[in-house]
Amino acid sequence: MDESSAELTDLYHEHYSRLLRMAVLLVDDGAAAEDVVQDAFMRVFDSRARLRDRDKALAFLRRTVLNKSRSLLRRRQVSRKYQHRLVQRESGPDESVHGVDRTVLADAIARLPPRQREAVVLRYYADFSEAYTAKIMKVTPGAVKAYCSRGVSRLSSLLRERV
Amino acid sequence: MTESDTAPPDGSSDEQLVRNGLHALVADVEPSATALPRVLAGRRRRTGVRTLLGVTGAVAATTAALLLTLVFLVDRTPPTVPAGTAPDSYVAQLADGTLVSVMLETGEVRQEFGRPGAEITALARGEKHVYAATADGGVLRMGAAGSFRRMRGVVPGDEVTAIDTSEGRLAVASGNRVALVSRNTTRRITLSAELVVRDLALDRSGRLALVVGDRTISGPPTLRVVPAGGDSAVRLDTFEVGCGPLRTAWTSTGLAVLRPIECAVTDAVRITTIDPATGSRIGGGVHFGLDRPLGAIGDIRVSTDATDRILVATTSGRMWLVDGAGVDPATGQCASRRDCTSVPPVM
Repeated sequence: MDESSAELTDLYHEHYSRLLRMAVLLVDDGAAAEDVVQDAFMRVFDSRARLRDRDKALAFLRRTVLNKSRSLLRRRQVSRKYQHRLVQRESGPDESVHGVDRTVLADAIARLPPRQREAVVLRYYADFSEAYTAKIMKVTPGAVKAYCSRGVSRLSSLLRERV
Repeated sequence: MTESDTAPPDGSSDEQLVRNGLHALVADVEPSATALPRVLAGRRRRTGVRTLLGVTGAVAATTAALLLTLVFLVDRTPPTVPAGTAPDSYVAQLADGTLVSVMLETGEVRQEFGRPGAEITALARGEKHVYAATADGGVLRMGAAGSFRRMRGVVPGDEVTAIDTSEGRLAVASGNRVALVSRNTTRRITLSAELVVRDLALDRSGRLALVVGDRTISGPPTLRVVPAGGDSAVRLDTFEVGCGPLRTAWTSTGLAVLRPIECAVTDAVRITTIDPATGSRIGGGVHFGLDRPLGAIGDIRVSTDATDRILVATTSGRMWLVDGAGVDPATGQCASRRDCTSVPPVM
């Protein structure tokens, strides 16, 4: 196994699962999320700088997953085939976890405006700081704060109603 | 993940609710069993394609560089730019006798053709050679690297009054005779004994234009045309100029004729283009003042280049470049930093 393949394997074991879950929350489709993350991993070592610097590689993976998720959602909107596949897949009536109905939560996330959804996922699932979330989303920290505030408010009100 | 990337857990109950919900929602999401092999295989394919693209790019870049190098070298290979035919240059004789081509814009000497070793009375510029009429009669053909030979077919001893060359042919005027030399053959055209050829111009087809004076009368010179392959000169009577033409040169549209603007005013000239078939005027041309009055017909010379620009040069060393309706003084000195003889340069 050459150097880049060994590095790629290490990176996969460390970050693939978490990035995959983040992608699922962003695109609400497990298969599409796998495609997004795998494509990001295939490209991560196109640059020798990222091969030498693990932090740069991770930052690239996060940005790429976010950007590819955005592209995927845009394509769905354009083709009018936007489907809440997570809702369909997780449509069992008794699937409450920690007191939250998964169907309700997935539906609520899918209904958030794109930027609010991204901010909420990055801040409250990936646990990124406001500054780092802003950097990845290429917006200001103030905008991240606003997106999160509105997103959380909307989600929590929905969840409280249904729980 | 670096420390600055992450945020400490927030105390807000709503945020905690959302956080818990998000984690719970994807808690059972796991990578597919084939995820890692697919990533590694995709990476290998990508590396192969990138390598192929890189090799292709390198080959393309090398090919482009090679072609550019070839073009660069070809453009600068002396045989492809024959001596004397470089654009934007004229041929002149330096004060030390060396024949040179001089860049029109800068006055820099572009190429040297050596010294003829005799007094020069007129110059003509060919595709690969420079022709120089010598005062002792005859014409020398000067080549690159100082090589020269005396042209056969031109009778030595005759005073050469004008020469011109085109497409490998050389026309030499001596008195009332014109010798047309082409490779190893010489064709002679003889006018009436009282006539004298003051100037001539040879076009690409072999057609000759002659400025002819009459020794027996004091009238102005006339313009005559000898068709290609012909042996008699047809006078262009319809071209009326009070003081006659002084010099002529072929352009792509007709004959450029230089004459004084008035008979009494010899320090200003006009260039008119006329139809060589009918003698009618094609263009009114331009007029401009000289630095001094013309003393004799040999004091001035006109020559043209492939773009129909006309170089007017005098024995005083002044030159003017006529381009359409514009007249601009050419390089003040014949060649920068080097003086020239009084032989008028030609393009």
